[in-house]
Amino acid sequence: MNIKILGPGCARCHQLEKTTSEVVKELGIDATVEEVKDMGKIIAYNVMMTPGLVINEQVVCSGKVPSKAEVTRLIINALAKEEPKKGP
Amino acid sequence: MELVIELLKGGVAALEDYILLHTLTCLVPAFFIAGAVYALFPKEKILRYLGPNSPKYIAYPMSIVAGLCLAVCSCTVLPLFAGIRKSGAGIGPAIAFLYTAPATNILAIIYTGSLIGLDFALARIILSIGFALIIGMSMAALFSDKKLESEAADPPAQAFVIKEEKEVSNWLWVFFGLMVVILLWGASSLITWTVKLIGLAVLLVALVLVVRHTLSRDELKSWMKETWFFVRTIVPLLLIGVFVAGMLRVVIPADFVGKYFGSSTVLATLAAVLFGVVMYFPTLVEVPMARMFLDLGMGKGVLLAYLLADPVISLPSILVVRRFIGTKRLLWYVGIIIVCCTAAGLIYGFFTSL
Repeated sequence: MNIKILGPGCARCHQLEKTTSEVVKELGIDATVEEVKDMGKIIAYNVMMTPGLVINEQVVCSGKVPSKAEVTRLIINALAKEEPKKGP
Repeated sequence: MELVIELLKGGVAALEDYILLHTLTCLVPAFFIAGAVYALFPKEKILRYLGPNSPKYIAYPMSIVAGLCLAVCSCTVLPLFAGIRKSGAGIGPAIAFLYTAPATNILAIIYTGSLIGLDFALARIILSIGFALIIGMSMAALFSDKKLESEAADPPAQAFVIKEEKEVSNWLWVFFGLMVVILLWGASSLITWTVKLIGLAVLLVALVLVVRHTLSRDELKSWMKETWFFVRTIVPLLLIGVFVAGMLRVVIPADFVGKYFGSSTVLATLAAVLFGVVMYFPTLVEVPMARMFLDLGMGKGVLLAYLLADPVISLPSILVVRRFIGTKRLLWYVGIIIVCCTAAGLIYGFFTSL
């Protein structure tokens, strides 16, 4: 799973990155969490208000800092979508 | 050693003057208002007017409203600006937004009103809105709207997902209005303390009732979270800024300020504007700085010019904006701002000396 935090580096974006990393650790899943600070790349995701949360190249949240519970829900949703692809 | 003690005393005195009194009456409500606007203001209602088919008489006012209400946190200004451009808005409205957002920072305006004077706060807002129009339309007139390669590379899709607009209850506007009333009532110097306290109690009860009627639990939590976020990111820097302003006040000779900046000369005003452009202060710190200059004898017009110029241009944001509009347009943007702020300072200084 690939998770990106979009934001120019302000406090909200850091908070989202921290929360997301915590959730990833707690769920024990295999995921990379990276911060995207380059404006050009952020715009390419059509995110108008930072921070933005992108899971597997899909924007799942933008404009606010989701709570840990919300982040957990979003990641679990994304996991469920991934499942069918894995398999024989 | 004595100097150090004087500096520290100056800093502490400033903290007392500039913060303690104004905190309760204006900063606390201001933070709640900022938190509410950030968390609860219906963004979609504004953004849908900023597409390519919006006629100018809608796009410009809406971009200014967007600057007033959507970008309470300075970090979202640039993605919003880029998004507005990408949605097809003309360069004029987009620039109007870009200018309005930092210039009409709600917290800064409220703090200005309290620390320096209502006249300054009003001047700041009205002039900033006027400038936004002037600057936006000038840029649109000066530059044909061909996009730079960096912009043209992205397909002009709808830059923001328009979720179905949820019904915005009229009570939400009552909620915002009530908070503004509380702010003005609490900060007003025209009412005696007893009347003020009774009035506040009544207003607060009304607010609680409106909140229970209008906001969901999530919205309430969201509001509180955002308010707290503003408090903990801004207050520490503000305290430091005020302390430094207090120290500077001890060191900068008052007659120097009075002599060169006391009256609204073109040179003084221009110098103040350039100072604001070059120096970067964290959000809200420009207000105690301005207060310090005022106390040292700076003229009102010169002061206004500084207040108008300081929040709008900071080196980091300039560099990022340059990526979007190019160096040539950027230089014009900065140039027009300098001219407008200087002119405003001179005019204001002229009128207040009549």
